[in-house]
Order: sequence, then structure tokens, then C-alpha cells
Amino acid sequence: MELKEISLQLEAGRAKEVKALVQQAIDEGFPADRILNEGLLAGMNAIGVRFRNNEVFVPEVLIAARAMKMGANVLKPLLTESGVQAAGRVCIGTVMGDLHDIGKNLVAMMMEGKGLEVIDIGTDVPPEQFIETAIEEDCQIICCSALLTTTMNVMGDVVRAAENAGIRDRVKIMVGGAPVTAAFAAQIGADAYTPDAASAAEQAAAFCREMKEKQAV
Amino acid sequence: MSKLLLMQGGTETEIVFSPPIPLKTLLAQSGVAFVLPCGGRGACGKCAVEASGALSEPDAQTGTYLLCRTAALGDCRVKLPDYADMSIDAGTQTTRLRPNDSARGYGAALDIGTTTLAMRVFDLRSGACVGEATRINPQTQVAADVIGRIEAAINGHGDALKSMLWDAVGQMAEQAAPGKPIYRMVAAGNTTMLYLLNGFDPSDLSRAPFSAKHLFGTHGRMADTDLYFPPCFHAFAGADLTCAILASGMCEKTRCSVLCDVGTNGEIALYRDGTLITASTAAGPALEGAGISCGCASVPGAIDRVWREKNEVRFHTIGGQKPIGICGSGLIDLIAVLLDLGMIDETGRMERAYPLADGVALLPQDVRAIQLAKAAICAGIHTVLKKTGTDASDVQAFYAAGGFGSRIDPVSAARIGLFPRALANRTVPIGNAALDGAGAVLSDPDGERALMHLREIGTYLSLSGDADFAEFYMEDMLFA
Repeated sequence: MELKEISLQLEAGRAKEVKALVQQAIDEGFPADRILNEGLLAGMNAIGVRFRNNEVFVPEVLIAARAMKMGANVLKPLLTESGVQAAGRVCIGTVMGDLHDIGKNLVAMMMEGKGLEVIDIGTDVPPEQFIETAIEEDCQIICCSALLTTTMNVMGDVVRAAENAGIRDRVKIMVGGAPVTAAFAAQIGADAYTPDAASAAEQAAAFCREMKEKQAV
Repeated sequence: MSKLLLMQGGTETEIVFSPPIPLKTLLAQSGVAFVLPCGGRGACGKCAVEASGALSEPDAQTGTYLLCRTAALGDCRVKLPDYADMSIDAGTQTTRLRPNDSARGYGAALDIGTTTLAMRVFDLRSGACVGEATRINPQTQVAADVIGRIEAAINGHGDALKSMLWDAVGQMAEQAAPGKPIYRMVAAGNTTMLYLLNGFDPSDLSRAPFSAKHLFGTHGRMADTDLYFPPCFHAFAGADLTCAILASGMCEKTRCSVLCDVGTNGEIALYRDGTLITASTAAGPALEGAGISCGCASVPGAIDRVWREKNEVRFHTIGGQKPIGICGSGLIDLIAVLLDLGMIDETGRMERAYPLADGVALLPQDVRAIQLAKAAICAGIHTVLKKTGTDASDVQAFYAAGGFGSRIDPVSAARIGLFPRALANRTVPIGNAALDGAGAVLSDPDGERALMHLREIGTYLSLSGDADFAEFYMEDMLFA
């Protein structure tokens, strides 16, 4: 078989086929990291590009992400066994006072599609909880979402809480949501603003690469 | 001192000012009403005006002067659109109230919408409607959306917001019934608008858990006028919904029915065997044409109807004027037509822009924005049906309320999935039912009790974070 088959089925959102093909690839002796990268992540990447080009929309991304999850579950024990590390760890949540979660969920899915491990801490999340989770789960990135102009300022509190906890130099803070702008992100001292889920995932992956390289030096 | 020559609707006004000053501040100070669709964030480009003279730089991208971003630096001229031309549909359901021999004087029914205000004045004894008035909510110049107003009130502008509303209400009463003293007024509106009308601090409406301290169902006084604020169910299900339910008569006429007031928020009510479930779903302003590249409000020149004759796409504009954009009902028609023509597929994909008229084209991203909005409404209704274990076939009537809800074509709405398809053939358009309900309470001595009863049997179902809602939201985004 070719690993490309996995990515094509994933793009089409066929969860059962993806799961079966991943098992077949394992049985045929493909290494776990190649199945992940050339099969699952390649498929999610293609979906991400098509999403950005307006060719597919939220439902297709969701369906593809579900298929990816099915495949990843089959692969997980092998990845752990062979010591393959996630590209990075992210904790994501909607800030305190805000209950909107559709955009946040989409970002989380796209990030998983980039091979990042995502810890979703839900909605109405107080600043301290972002920090505690980032420390406990050893995250490189904190992602905050807000849909209301009355709650977006909590994002600034998250940045300050990270400073106070002394972890600001080892986490990147990303912000997003309808009322958020790049100027606002700069003003509160966040590291990045991204306008949509696909670019958020790309930015997060880029940050993780950057931080890994730095560590290696 | 410098001079601003303001042109609007054929009249010219001169305003003297000391520069520099933002145009929006200057106009607000001078009592000129205007509309900033995105609340002055410079994001939508819809407040572009014709202007010349000593002004700050025009918008770099479009080369136009945005009302929200331009400053007057010296003598200048600005031409404002004639907002008075905007045909705001007050609905024409109730034109007469029940006569009441013991009543005296005049009463006013008021619907305070986030975007528009509507009033009808009645002779309380005969029940005859003596006049009506509509206008744009003057608070839109502060912020277009509810959250922006709440924020402004929290930041110390509560009194200004309150007096803006009362000034407008006074002017409308004078327009609808000149010189007639109003003894009684029933003010329907969403919960936030009633807070702002009363000058209450809306902090509790600004963040989770959104538990409103004031749910009204109360009386107040303004000089000689008795004011009644009908009861709200929740921060997001206000007195406008309570009044709309009353006007629809759904709780008396049916065993099981659904009402949806389509606006920036879709407010939903399901009545079934003595219980009432309410919910609210954030559709955003796309269905009203905002945030759509070719979108516009229901103003003269707006394409409000689109249909197919054989293979030709035809359209109609409000007032038969040259097309300037597409308003909500036209957008829904157009997408339905393009779906039928196969130019939009069931996932919402459109290969390229569709030019409908000179300078008016539907873009692929416009379809996406409509998908998000219609999915929110449809998923809200689906969720309420599911939570109450109601099969769509049990629903005897589906009431589509609101000016917008009444203008849209039920067939197109069903085609794009704005409402669950199973309800399409039971759709009853009921116009501005909130205003009708407020009117009914004016003359009916049992009206207030009936409203309070609705609140008693009603519960609010929160859709945010609900797993069923999230699932329906994804499914309902498709055009399948």
C-alpha cells in the first residue's frame, strides 16, 4: 500500500477507512512516524490548505479531524513505544466570562492536525488555570479565545499571570476570536494573533519548531 | 473655528467646530444620527461617505472616507446617506386593539430593537391605531452590537445611552401622534435594551454566567405616563420574545408549536402541552446583510427578491431603484437559486464570484458567512426540538417573527436550511410580533397577567457548550 491512500481517505472524511488503512500500514511494517506524517498529518494539512482557499468549510474540517482521531488512536501505542514525540504541546481555552467555543474547538482540531498535542481546558477559563495547565502539562503554547469585547481583556491577564508565574520565557501566548486584532495582541503583549484556525495551527507549529531549535542550540 | 457643511436628504446644515475632531464625535455632539455598522472599528467599510475639504487621510485600501475613522481638520463638506429613507418594517398585523369604554387617552406600544425602534400609538377607548413611527436606534452610533453598548454603559456612558433612547422615544411619539398625551406605554425589547432604557448597570449581562438581576415585568413612571416593561425570560431571551409569544397566541391555539424571531440573535420558543422552552442563538448580523461583501440593509435599491425564470436569474429591488446591494431576504433567495443551478454545492463551495447586477456580486466567502449564520438558527431550533423530545411532525405551527422573518421567502429559507425543512410547510409569518404583543397588553386588563404566566411556565435553555447544539451546528452548516 501507499501511505498517500490514508491521507486521501482522511481528506474525504472516511473515518472507518482511515482506521483500517492505518492498521494495514502497521501490519505491512511501515514505521509509526511515517504513517503519522505521510498519512494522517499530510491529509489534515491538505484539508487546512483547502480550508484557507475557501474550498472546504468547517464541517469538512470537523469530519476530517474525526477521521484523523480514529487513525491516531490505532497508531498511538506504537508512537509511544517507538518514542515518537508530539511536535509540541498546547493548552487552549476560552477565557473567563466567555462561553463561546466553536472557534476554539476548530483551532484545537487544526492543531492536532499539525501533530501537536492539544489540551483543551474548555470555556470560562480563569487566567490561573491557563498557567497551571501549561506548567503541569509542560506546554510550549497557551492559546486564548474570546468572542466578546467585554471578555477579551482577560487575555491580557493571562499574559501577566504567565509573567508572574515566571514562565513567560518558555511559553508562547497566542490569541484569537472575532473582536481580537493583531494590534490588540501586541498591546497586551501576546506573541501572536491569527485570524483563522488554519493559520493558528501553522503559527503554533512554527513556534514549536523554533523553540525546539533553540533548545537544541 | 471651522465649518462643516453637512448634506443629507436634500438639506444642508452648517456646523461650527474647533478642529481637529473625529467626525463621529462632531456629529454625535451636534445631534446628527448616523450608523456605524461595525461599531466604529473600521472593519466593515460600510460607513463610507462622500466628503471633501480639510479631512484626515481616506482609508488606504478603498480610498473612501469612513465616518468612523475620519477626522475633520478644518472646513469640509460631508454628505450623509438619508437614513430617514430606510424603510423599516413595523409590521402590519395589529392595526386595532380591543375597544375599552373605561379607558381614556392614548397608549403607545414600543419595540426597542438593538438596531431599530418601532412605535404604534392607539386611542385606548376605541382601540384604533392613530399613528406609527420607526427609526434607527440612535445607540447604533455608539456601537452596532449589544455587547458594545453594554461595554459603553459599564465605561460610564449609561446615562448618555439612556437619554438617547428616551429622546428618540419622545420624538417618535410626537411623530406618530402629534400633540396627543400618552398615558400608558408598553416597552418591549431585548433584556439589554430594557436595562439601558432604565439606566441599570448591565455588568451582569456582560460575562458568564449571564444571569440577569432584572427580568422586569415591572411598572415605572415618566412624567404623566405609566410605563410597563414586560417580563424577560433571561439575559438572552427578552421582553420582545415574551410579547411575540403572546401575540402569536401559540400557547392557546396549539398543543405544540415553535416560534423563531430571526435577527442578530435568533430567539426561539417551543410550546408543548403547557411548558415553554426558550433559547437564544447567536447568528450574527450576516442575515441582515452586514459583513457580506455585497450586503446592505433593507433600503431603497437593495435587492430583496431573487428568482429564476427558466435559466435566467431575475431580481427585484426595493423601490424599483438601481441595485446597490443585497439585503437579507435577497441573499437567502440568491443562495437558494444558485444551489438549484448547481453553482453552489451542498458543502457551500462556490467556484467563483457570481455577478448578479452591476457592481453587486456574491463572493464565495459571503456564502460561508451565511452558512455560519443560518446554521446557528437552524441548530438552535433542532436542539430545542431534541431536548424536549419533540418530533418535527408534532409541531402544528412554526411562527416566523420579526421584520426579517416575515420578509423572507419560506421556500428559499427551507432550501438553504435556515429553518428545519420539516417545518417549512407550517410556516406562519407574523411580522413584528413583539410590537403586536406590546400593543395587546396596552388595552387588555389581563395582558400583564398573561405575560407573567408565560414567564412562569417558561424556562431558558442555554445552547453554549451544549454537545447536541455543537453537533447540529456542524450538520446544519451544510446545504444538504
